[in-house]
Amino acid sequence: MVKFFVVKYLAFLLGCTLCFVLHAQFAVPVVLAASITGLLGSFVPSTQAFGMHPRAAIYAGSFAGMCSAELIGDYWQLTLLALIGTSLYALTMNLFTGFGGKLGGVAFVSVALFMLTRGVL
Amino acid sequence: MITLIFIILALLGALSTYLLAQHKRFDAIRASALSAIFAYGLLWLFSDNPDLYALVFFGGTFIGMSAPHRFGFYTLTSSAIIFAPLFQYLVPKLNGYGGALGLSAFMAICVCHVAILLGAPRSIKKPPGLFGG
Repeated sequence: MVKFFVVKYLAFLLGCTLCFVLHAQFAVPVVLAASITGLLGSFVPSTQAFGMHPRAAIYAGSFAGMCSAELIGDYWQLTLLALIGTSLYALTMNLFTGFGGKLGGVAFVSVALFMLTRGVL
Repeated sequence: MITLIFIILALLGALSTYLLAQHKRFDAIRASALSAIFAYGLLWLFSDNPDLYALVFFGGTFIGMSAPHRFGFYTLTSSAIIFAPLFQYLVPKLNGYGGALGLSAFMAICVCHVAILLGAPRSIKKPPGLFGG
């Protein structure tokens, strides 16, 4: 279970960072940044133990990475965002299966929770 | 007028992803990403505001990522119609927040799901495993 969570966390962080770097550093339009990240992530080999979850976590991370650079000041903040996102992803794994927009919903709630946490801290 | 364009784009995004995801070489993620990249290219060539229109299309692709055994064409079309005004009025209020598009798509799907639970007509169900998506 811990290994599963770590893999999903790394996948989420990868998607989040790649998308954020593409649009914040290289001025790639956000739609292209997220979809290129998702497309690259869809070629990550899936194993029987993890199924499609690493690919889905990369895509969910790329949605979270669509945040504007005004909201995410430092790259270390992406690690906290990815931690919140992965936890939510793991908690909702068996909920709303087959519902479109679930990954984006998870990404939005993680960003909102991240902003709340940052405000409190 | 803008809403009509948004509805058409969301519908195109949803249906293209839904159909592409049923292809053997694709899954929902690859179908959504590829159709969004392709649409951005077309919109960049032929429209005056490719960033805005590509966002609507991208949101539509999230609707199309629904599993075929849960939602069919009729439900996806209804969801795309609901998504367009959500995009127009909700997404600007969440400007800069990642996942706002996905949230709108998810809310549109949820509205349709609740309507189905309350007895609204729905698409004919496809058995799971018939398609790869």
